[in-house]
Amino acid sequence: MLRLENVWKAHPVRSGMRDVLKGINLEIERGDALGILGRNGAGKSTLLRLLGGVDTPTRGRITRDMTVSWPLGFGIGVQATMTGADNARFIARLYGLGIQETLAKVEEFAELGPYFHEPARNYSSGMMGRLLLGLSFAMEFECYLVDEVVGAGDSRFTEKCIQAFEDRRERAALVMVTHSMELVKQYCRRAAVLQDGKLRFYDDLDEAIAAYYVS
Amino acid sequence: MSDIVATRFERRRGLAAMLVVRERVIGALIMRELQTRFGRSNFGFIWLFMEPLMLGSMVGGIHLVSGGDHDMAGAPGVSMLFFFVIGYIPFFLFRAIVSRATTAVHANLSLLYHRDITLQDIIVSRNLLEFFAVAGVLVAMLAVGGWITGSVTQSPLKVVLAIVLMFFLAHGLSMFIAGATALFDIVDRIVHPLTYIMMPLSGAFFMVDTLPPDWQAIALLSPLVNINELLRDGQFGLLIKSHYDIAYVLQWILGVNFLGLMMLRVARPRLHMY
Repeated sequence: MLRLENVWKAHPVRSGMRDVLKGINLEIERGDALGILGRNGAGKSTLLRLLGGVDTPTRGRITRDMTVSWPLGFGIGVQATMTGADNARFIARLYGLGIQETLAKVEEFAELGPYFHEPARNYSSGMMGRLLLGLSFAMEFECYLVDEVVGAGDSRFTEKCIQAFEDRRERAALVMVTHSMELVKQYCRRAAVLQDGKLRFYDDLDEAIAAYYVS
Repeated sequence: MSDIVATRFERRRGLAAMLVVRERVIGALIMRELQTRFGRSNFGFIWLFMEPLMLGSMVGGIHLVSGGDHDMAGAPGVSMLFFFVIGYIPFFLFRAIVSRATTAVHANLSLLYHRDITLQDIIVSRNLLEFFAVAGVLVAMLAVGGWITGSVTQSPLKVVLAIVLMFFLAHGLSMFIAGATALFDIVDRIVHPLTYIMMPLSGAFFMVDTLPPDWQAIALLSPLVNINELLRDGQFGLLIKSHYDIAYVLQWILGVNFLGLMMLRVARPRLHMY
C-alpha cells in the first residue's frame, strides 16, 4: 500500500515559495491502475517524485509499504553516457539482481538490437522508453510510477507494455501521470485530475476525461 | 499546522539489513564509476601516475636549476626529487577528493531517483575509488623511486597510516563541501582557488624541521603538514627529523566528518529535483 495524507509541496521561486501541491490525499493498492491527468506544470512529476520517495513533502504524511519503482520518465535513473547494457548491469547490482539474467530480460523486452551496446544518449525517445521499462520490469516492483515514457513507443511496443502491466495486475500497481487521455484509456482503470494543486478522483474514466477536457 | 510529519528517506531497517544495502549500493556505484572513468580507454589510468610524477619532477627540477643541491636541504642522503614526488602524493589524494566534491551532488542528481542511493553513498564510492587509485600510485612510486634512489621504506605502517588519515580528512571535508555546494553555488567558486593556495601550505614541499621554531608551531596547526611529516617519517626514518601529532590529526578528522555528515543531512531535503 502507498498512501498520501494531506501532502503539500512548495517549490522555491524568485518571489519566495510557490505551493505546487495543496493537500493531496491518495491511496494505492496492488492491482490498481491509476491515471493522473494534468496540464503542463500542474505538478504531475512533483507528485510522482513524492510517491517514489525521492523528494520530501513540505508537509503531510507518506506511508510506503510496497516496493515502488523510481519515477520512469525520460532520462531519469539512466546514465546517458553509459550503454543500455551497462545501465542494465548497474541496475542489477544496485537492486541485487543476477547480472546475466537482468541483461537477458532487458534486452528481450527493450528490443534495442545493436543499440543495446551504444551509449544511451544516442537513443531515440522511443528507445529510451523501452530501455527504462525493460529495466524496471526486470526488477519486478510492486508499484510502477510512469511519467510519459510509454507514450513514445510505436503500436507494437504499446501492445507489449499493456501486456506487461496486464501480466503484473495481480501483484503490482500502476500510477501513470500524463496529459494524454489516450494513454489513460489504454492503461488505467481509474483516473484523477490534478488541477490547482488538488487531486480529484472520478468514478469512471470517461467522467475523469470529461472533467479534464473542460479544465 | 498540526499534521507536519517529515517523511524519512530511508525506511527503518535493522542495522545489519542497512549495512547489506549500503554495501550493495556502494559496490554498484564503484563499478559504474570505474566504467565511466577508466572503462573505455586506459588514458585516465595513465594520467593518474603522470600527474604526481610531473609535478614532483617540476618542483624538484626548479630547485636543482636554481642552484639547489641534489640532496634535500637539511637531510643528506635524501633525494630532493624523490622527496617532492612522495610529498605530492598525499596532497594529490586530498585535492582529487576535495575538488571533485563540488560536482558530487549536481552531476549525480539523477542517481538519487533510485531511493536506496544516498548522498553519502555517492561520495563514499567516488572517494574510495580515488583512494585506491592514489594508494596504488603511492606504492608504485615508493617502489620505483626507492629502487632508483636507494631509499628503503623504513616503516610501511606509518606510510599506510598517513595515506589513510589523509583519506578520512579529505572525505569529511568533501562531504561538507558537497552539501554546502548543493545549498550555495558560491562554494564551488571558492573551493578551487583554495586548493591551489593550499598546495604550498600542505607541507608537501618543505620539512617542518628546517623552519624557524615560531613557524614550526604555526605549520603544525595544519593537519596536512602533520600527515606529510608522518609519511616522510615512514619513508626516510632517521635520515630526517619529523614533527607530527597523530592525535591532533584525529581530532580534525572527527570534526570535519561530523560537520560533513550534518551538512549532507541538511542539504538532502533541500535539493531541487527536476
